Amino acid sequence: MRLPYFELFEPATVPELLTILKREQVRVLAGGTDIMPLMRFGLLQPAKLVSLRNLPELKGVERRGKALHIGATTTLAEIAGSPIIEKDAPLLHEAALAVAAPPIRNVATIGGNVFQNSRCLFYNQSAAWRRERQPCLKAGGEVCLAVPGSRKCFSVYQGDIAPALIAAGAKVRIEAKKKGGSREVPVEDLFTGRGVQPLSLRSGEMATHFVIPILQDTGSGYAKFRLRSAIDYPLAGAAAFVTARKGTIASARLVLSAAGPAPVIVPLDGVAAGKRSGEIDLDAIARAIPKNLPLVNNHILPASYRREMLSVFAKRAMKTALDRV
Amino acid sequence: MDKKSKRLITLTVNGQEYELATYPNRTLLEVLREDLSLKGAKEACEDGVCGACTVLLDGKPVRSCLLLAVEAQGGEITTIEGLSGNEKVHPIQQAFLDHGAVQCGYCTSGMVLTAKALLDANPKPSEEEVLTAISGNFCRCTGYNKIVKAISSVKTDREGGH
Amino acid sequence: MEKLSYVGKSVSRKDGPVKVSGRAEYTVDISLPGMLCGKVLRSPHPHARIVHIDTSKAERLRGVKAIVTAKDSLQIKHGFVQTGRYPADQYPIAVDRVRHVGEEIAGVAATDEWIADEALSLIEVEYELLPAVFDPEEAMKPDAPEIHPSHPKVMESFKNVGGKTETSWGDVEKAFSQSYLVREDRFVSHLRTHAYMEPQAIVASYDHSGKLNVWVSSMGTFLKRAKLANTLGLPFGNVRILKTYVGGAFGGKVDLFNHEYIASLLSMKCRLPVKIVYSREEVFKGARHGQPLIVELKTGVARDGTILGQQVRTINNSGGYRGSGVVIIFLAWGFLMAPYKIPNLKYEGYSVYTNSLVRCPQRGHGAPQMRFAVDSQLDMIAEQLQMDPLEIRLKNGRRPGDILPNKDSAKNFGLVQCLEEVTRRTGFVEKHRKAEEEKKNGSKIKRGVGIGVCSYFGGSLIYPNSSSVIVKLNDDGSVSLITGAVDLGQGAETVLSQIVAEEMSVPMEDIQVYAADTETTTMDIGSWISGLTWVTGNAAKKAAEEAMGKLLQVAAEKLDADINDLEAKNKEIFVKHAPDMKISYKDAIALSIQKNKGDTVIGIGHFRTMKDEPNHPSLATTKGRWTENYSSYAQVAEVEVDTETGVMKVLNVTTAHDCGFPINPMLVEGQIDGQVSMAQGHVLYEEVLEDKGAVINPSFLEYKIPCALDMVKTDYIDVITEEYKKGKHYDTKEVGEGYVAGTIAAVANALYNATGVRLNQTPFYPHKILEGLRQIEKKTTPKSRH
Repeated sequence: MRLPYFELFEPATVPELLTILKREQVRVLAGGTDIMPLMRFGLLQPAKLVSLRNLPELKGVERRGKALHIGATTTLAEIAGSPIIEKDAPLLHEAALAVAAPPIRNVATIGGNVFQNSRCLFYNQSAAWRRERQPCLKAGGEVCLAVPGSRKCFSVYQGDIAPALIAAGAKVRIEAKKKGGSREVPVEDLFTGRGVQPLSLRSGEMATHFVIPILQDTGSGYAKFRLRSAIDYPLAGAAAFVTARKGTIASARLVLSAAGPAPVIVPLDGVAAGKRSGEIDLDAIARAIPKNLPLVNNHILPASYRREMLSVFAKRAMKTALDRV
Repeated sequence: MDKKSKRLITLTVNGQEYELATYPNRTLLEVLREDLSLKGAKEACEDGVCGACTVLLDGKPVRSCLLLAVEAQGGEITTIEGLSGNEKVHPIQQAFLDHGAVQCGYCTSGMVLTAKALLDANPKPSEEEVLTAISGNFCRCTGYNKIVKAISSVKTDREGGH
Repeated sequence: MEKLSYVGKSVSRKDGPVKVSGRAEYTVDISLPGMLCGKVLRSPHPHARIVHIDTSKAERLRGVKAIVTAKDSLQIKHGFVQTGRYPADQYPIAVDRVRHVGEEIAGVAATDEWIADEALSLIEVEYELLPAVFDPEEAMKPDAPEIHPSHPKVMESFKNVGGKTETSWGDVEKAFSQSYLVREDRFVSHLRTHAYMEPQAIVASYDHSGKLNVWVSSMGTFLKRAKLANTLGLPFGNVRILKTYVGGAFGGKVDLFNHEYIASLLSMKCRLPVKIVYSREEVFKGARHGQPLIVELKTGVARDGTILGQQVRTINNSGGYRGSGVVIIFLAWGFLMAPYKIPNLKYEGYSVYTNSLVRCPQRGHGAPQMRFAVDSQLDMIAEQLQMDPLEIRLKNGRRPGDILPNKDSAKNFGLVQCLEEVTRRTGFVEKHRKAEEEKKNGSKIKRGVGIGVCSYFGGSLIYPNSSSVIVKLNDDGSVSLITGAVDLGQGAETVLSQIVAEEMSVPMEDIQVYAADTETTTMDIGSWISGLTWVTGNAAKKAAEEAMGKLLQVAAEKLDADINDLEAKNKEIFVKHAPDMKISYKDAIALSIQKNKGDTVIGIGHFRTMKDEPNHPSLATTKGRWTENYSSYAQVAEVEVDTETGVMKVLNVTTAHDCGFPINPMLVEGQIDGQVSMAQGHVLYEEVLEDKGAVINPSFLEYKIPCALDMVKTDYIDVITEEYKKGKHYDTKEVGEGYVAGTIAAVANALYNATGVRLNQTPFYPHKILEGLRQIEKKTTPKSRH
């Protein structure tokens, strides 16, 4: 399968990049592991791409005061191999190691993984095969093919990194070439909750860095369920992050992957805070998971089972976090 | 058809520089196979999953099917053809032959290069480390058993890679 | 046991160096001047009439050099099976009707892939949609849409039956009435696929002299040539299939594929080479996958576990055309009756059309499905009789010398020895008992062991029914080995070289193999039904013997010695008791040319199984002798189940195999490893998912073949029941296909041993295992649910 023709911009500085983003209708090319297959399948047909390859300012891991700044085009291999991250952002370290396989991690970027498209068996196929069938909602059509007649898209966001970042309280720095173009928002604000367009930045915007607070007395765990031991996206995933103060839990965050079109933050009010880690009822944690997650049978295992595994893996992630704190 | 324009690019492959004109939407895999006649890297899927297209970029295994040729400039690309050069077979290749780690051969180019990258970074890997390193290279013939034995058997020279 | 120098040794592969250095040439690597990119237009509908095709817009596209549709075709049908009873049933390019999503309707050849893709999108096809059916049992019902008329010889009023196999012996009803226990169970094996790494590929180049040169990824060049020539209306001699290496096949590249015909037709139209290479998506959506099979099994046993009778009904989902469906229902019978004695049997198999992709053989072709059923049920019976799984198998396993119901002899059947060895090596009986006890101990992780058994046959008659080999001496004493054999990765070239090296006392490095070219090499039976090592191997042996005989004759005259007093070693012939009296092959050849009217020393060998049988057994009745070569194996699998998630891991598989005499033990081990891996995928998570006849998981992301971190540990036990003797015909048995079957059955039984969950449908997805565990918790009997 060939890539369709496109023009490629290769800016050498971030201001140049932002100028291009403002001026042109372009898609961003980072590691390419998400966008290239989509282009081959004709699911994305950008006439223009802008490459982030030559922008050293967008790479690298740096401690600045009480936060880690991670450039958006830092590869997952660099993140998994970074002693700074292993020490100060262990949840991110664990999540990075869970992604795909080593050769993919050598080029896949943290930004690219966060901004990956949502997935569904009925969507992720070539346009050629759908020439005489209706395109699905996500592919620009009128109805969902997974749930016939539905006008809602049930594609699933299967990123490992975003839930880990959200659980760790990370923010993302966004730049644009316009007045007031710089902003920093929690990572969860990137998600629209809509399968058709799961992530959004405003026109001309670019995520440049992730900022993770460095905290003391923390424990975390990322638990991923997949059928094979590598390669696969999660069929259920959970990122848990707890902080302690004077022997009791001060805060607890639990974020799910593969639970819908966006990572799901599980409301844990009252379940964990103030208790000793040994006293926390893991079943109560699982019961806090919303009952109405929009899961349907559009992936290899049935929705009912995946729903159940979200509970199982949420408990496993939380137990790991509590054991480590 | 809209106007398309080629670019002049320079690729360093197996220690040699190649200058060629190509469109931006061509992948490194296509350019290696079609323009440079280096056909050891294979295409066996289209979503970067199988690993048959693996080449080394600055010593690290990457999917050449997901890398645009224009983006591979400035890096040192190593393909399977560059592994043994004119001398005798590379120790990793010999280990594959000695241990029956080759059957149909389609995954072999990618597998051998991935093994090289592993052994360059980690001369005495555990079985788990070998399995992790090749977890992104599919093989349908061998079940991986003899590939792991082959890689684990390679005696490395501590002084400098191989 | 004779002392051997090459045969029986783990010699390094002949084609290893080119493969390991990236220099092996596969079809996709072929590049010819002016070569065009070919693409195929496929039906998006599972069942439709083609009303009209308009290619005019596509033809006007700059860069398009040829377009073909049915009107360019002679419309000669082809089929996997082409016999009087089962004539060819598929057009090589659709004429007026399509019967599955993906059926080929048109082909384009253009200067590059982008233009070819655009040309496809410009072809306008008007369809009249027809009702479609996807489930074989639904397709058999009287109100089902008709895909093809049922076979005229099938008496029942079922619809869409493409073929039937029926056989019986003894009196099965009487046997059941005399049985202590009768069990009836239903097993379903699902749709899975070969997932060879090299996608389908062909380069077809028709030149102005009327000759078609073809490079194609295929399992048997002579069969391919015959079918291509027939459908194209060309004499066989005008179609040349040249050698390329093949990146795996596992049964999936036997058939003539319509795109191969289309590439050839395109080339004939524009007189330029045309290359068609499938994308991986196209392999999933357009190539042929394995055979789903329903097995309904009723077995009656005596109190001591002896099988008294079996009644079996199989239903195959063959897809839109017959494919190899009518073969699998016959083979399934074979895999049923070979390993265990069955004194009374009634067997019926139906091959049923559905509006799905045509199916083809996949490694085992009936064995995985049948052994899963029989060995699962045998364990269930053993439990009811309070016997252990080993005991009941020792009771029923065939012994050496047993005569099978079709009059074949099981000869040196090593099954009993395999069972004893594998259970001893793994400590099976003890582990099995322990797991039974620990089932209810409340631990979250459970382990268990299970046995599977299979018998496979080799080299049966299938077109072209024979192999010939030429061994040609070069005048320096080195050898050219000429064979039509295709090396798919199984090591054909190596094994044949070993045989010739042994017979002729020539080192492996001095043997060059010229293979797999229909013009310059000899006819070959093909790399399927595991016949290659045996059929072509024996042909190679004979050719080498003949050549050697000529050299010995010349040497005997020259050295004035009796031919029986001569010995050969390392390209020299010497007198045994006076080794200084010797002659080199080089000199012997020169002498032959001088003294024997220019005879340059060529040996020719032929071999055919069942040399007195005119044909293969009847697919319809199973009557007829089949082969002289039955292998057997017993495998033990150990699994681990996480009862919280239902996820099962296959930890290790130990295989005791009676493959006769392993010509190359390392290659045999490689076959076992690969098959265990394939079986692992089959039982755990490999499934081709279809939605209204279209494959919806057409990638390695969603069709889950195991990766390295899923690797199963393997162990092997050789049970050697044959001997290799120079100068004598040898019996070796198959190694390429049978180990998948035993592994699947062993895992099914191990799952039960670990958890008490009995699943009768593959794959054993985690949610099915979890469901089974829940049912046990509720203390209801787990039924097999489909």
